[in-house]
Amino acid sequence: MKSGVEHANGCPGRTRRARARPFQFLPSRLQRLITEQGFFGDNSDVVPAGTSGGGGSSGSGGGGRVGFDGALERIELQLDAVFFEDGLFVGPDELGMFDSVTSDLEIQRNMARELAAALRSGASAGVLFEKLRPLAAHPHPTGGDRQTKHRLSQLGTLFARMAIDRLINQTNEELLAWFEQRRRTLALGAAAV
Amino acid sequence: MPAALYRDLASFGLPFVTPGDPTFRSLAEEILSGTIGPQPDTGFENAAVLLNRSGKAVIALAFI
Repeated sequence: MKSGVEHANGCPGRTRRARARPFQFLPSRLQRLITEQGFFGDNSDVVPAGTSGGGGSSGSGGGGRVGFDGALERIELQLDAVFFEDGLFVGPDELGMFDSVTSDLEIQRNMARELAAALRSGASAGVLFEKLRPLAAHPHPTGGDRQTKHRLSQLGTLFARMAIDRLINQTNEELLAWFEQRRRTLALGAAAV
Repeated sequence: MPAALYRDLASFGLPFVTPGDPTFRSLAEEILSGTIGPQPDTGFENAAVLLNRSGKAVIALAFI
């Protein structure tokens, strides 16, 4: 059977831009192997400069069209959505990633603001940890939207885990500076282009 | 073997390299050689390598 590649020329589906102060990411050299079992490849191009933790989020899946007799007739792999470091968002976005990511970033911004305020008020490390813990937990998919929620809600988890790591290893002053930076840099305002 | 159809975002610098491309296998092996943890235990028939030639870092992506 013949297979083929469709290159999205011009404007494939929706193309949007989120106005944001750019994150501090390393120059890109993304290279991933995508198989029926998921993503493979290192994360070196999506890790924020100066950190040892992760810095990106990705969804995985794999589509197949099943015929009436249950036999797989066709396999499709579609790059559905991409967020670039400058806020440009491209792709058909059938999974609703744009809304998911912007929502996650808003949650992070609010959490960073809340944690900065708590730290200034003298909150203990234990109090800060309890605030972060729900966000740091593995996302638990629910209901019929299971696959999408599971795939796309990783940015909040990533932020919380980075914060906990800093809570353990940094001084209060360093932690406060990081929360303030996150509060400012994660402000997004979506606009159509 | 069912036909595979790949839809990339090449016009935005994100092309797929598919198994029919002569560079596919070496790229796949290069990626896997630097991967710690589980490796795919099936063949590469329906796999693809995603390249980033956009000149920009990718914060997040999703595929279906």
